[in-house]
Amino acid sequence: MSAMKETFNVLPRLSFRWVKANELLLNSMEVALDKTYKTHELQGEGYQALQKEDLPLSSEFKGVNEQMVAMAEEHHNTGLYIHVGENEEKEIHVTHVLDAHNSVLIEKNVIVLEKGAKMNLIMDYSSDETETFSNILNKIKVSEGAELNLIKIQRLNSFSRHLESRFSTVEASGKVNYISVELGGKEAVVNYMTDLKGDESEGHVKSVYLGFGERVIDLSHHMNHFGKRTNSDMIFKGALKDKSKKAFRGTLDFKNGSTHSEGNEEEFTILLSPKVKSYAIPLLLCREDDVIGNHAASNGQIDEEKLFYIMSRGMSESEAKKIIIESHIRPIIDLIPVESIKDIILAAVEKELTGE
Amino acid sequence: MEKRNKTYIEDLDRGVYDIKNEFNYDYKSQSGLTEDIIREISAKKNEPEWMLNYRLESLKIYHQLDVPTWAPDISDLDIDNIVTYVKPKTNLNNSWEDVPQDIKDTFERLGIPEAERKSLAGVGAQYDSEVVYHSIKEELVKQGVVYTDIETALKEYEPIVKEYFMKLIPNTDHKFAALHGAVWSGGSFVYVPEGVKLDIPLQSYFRLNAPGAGQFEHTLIIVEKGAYCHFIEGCSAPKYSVNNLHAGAVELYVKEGATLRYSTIENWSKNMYNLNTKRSVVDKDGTIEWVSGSFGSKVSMLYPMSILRGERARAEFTGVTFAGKGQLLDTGSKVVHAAPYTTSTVNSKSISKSGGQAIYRGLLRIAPNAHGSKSTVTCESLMLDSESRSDTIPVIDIGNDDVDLGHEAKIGRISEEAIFYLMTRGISEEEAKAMIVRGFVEPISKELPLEYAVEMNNLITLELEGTIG
Repeated sequence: MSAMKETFNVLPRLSFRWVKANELLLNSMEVALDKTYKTHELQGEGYQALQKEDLPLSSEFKGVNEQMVAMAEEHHNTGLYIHVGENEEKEIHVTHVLDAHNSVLIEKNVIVLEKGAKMNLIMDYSSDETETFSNILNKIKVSEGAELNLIKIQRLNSFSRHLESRFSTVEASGKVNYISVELGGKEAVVNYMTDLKGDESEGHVKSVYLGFGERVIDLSHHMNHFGKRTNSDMIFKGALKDKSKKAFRGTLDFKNGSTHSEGNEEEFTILLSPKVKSYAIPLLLCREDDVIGNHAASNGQIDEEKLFYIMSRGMSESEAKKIIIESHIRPIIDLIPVESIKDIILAAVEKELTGE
Repeated sequence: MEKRNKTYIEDLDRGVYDIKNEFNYDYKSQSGLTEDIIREISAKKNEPEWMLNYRLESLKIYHQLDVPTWAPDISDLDIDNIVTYVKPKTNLNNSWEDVPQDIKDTFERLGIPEAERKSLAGVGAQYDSEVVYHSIKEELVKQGVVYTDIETALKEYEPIVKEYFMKLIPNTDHKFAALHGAVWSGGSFVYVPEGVKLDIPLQSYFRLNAPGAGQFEHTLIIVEKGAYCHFIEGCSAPKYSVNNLHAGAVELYVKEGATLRYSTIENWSKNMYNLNTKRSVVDKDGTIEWVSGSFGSKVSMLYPMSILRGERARAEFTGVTFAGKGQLLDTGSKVVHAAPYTTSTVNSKSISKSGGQAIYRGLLRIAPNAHGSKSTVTCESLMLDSESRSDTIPVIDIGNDDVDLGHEAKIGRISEEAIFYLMTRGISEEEAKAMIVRGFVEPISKELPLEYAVEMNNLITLELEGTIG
């Protein structure tokens, strides 16, 4: 009866085995590698289908797991090469709608920002009611003084497996701002590693998620501070309901030589049902004395007083809960620099919260 | 600005802790781990059959289990070179006068009998594998309090020992629990009857003098309903060039409404592998309070665990770890909330310097039935230079929605402004640094009995000496 299991998101430093938090185990899946995928519907300019362009990965980077990274490298059925020239500014929207004819997405993207470049990149994944599989590998290079805003929205149906591995290097004074909104999928597994290579480089990762039904959400973010005076933060906010499971694995890694750097990670989860499962594993690895690292995690129920107050204004309990969850994740959504995307996300959140 | 000048003194004088006695013994086992050695230890101790069988079963399990995958590297430790049993040249004494002079001097230097005279309700002293001295105040005996070495307990209170011995830390728990089950020797047995409140503490001191030996003491404490007890454990050993091993086990049973406070300062020498297991189970309305100071040792793996199995049970853990040159101290705290309305507070501080590695490895688990539970975990690390290393590896595992959990961790260095400020007040840079470190661990030292707080401050001063910059 027990199916073959596949391992995902292994912690960079392991803990006690009996706790079973060192990795995520999911049933192995047979993936049809020969399935074709339609071309992107793109708005904007300055992209092209990926040919031979590539970026190196660090040996420390394993992605969601090595097999999935290798699959994306060798068998991708779509992919983009996005290049933003020196001091250029761009905005690109990449929209994927998975359906019966396009149920397997194996995507490899190579994204390069040259010196002083700026880009807003929006990646939106949605589906009809077909069971789908998506495995995405993003390789990103942000050169000196460049800035990348990457907003990802994942609102796949609740039969789908979604995997994303993302490796980024950031050079001196460069900046990445990642906002990831994980609203859907049966299983959503995300693994980011950001190498802050250059002095004064910055990495900001913000993520919101909603866990309903039997959804499994496993988010791993590893922030490597190499350069001096580098700065990072990671903020994770979400809500869990029904029998959903979530693991947050956030690693702040101060390498030797990353003097005067600072990193902060925070996680806040609202728990809405007695059957949820919530893991928080915020690692803090440090090889340098002259740094500041902070992490904080908190989990709890909806504040009864807040709930009572809102209900006293004539709202039903479920309506009031919806407002509280929305206001919990809203500060992250408000950071998105593209107005039209905010509306799409808020509508998706609304749909997810109403359709519970 | 990026490179600060530092000077180190290679090996610090650890004062009284490093004075070694001539290695005299009545009996010592062959080094290594075989069935014959275990049968011999058991025979020397005149043990009941079930204990021998337990030892032999543990040996089998030891060979079956692997070293944990997540653990620090201990490949340098070869059990075949460790002498598991060393009986000192004396029997258990109830009078301090009867303890042999060299052993007595050791404990005198460590301040043990003096502490007893001043402020303790009972004292035990273990030298290598056996307890050499035990005493308890007469009025406590009248109240039914038992404080003795575990070998004596096994003879006089066999049913109690049999009921509790290695039930909380079974020999299947991990490789070194199995090793302990096979070769355990010495340790303390404490039984506090219902409603008895000990207002002054009991103390056991463990001294490992023999080179290349292991110490495997077993501490078993049962605090019955509504009782109170404060138990203090001290450990030390002089430095040898060969590896020593400490794999003790501490099992604490806190019954309904009872409170047990368990304070430890472990100050092993830097050739010691300290792979120690400590665990407590707490019934309804009971409280366990851990105060733990980890100094010394080459490698430590120590994660005192609290299992809150009764409603409203409480756990508090306050710990400090100081890793200097050549040391890897992997320590932390595990709390399992297994009943409703249980609460826990974990407060851990670690300091690393001169290439030392301090790792906080923690677990907080809130079981599905433990609704209404609350927990606060705080970890703070201080790095004194960039050759050192400090990692925080906490796992938080929540199985229901009705919990209130806060976790915080911080890492950082001594702020230059603070040092500068103190220096403008005429304090030397070195003293300013020491003051800041002492301030950093203050929440822990204030939880310790006075003598131990003084000892901890001395240890910190000792460790910081010779670091300039």
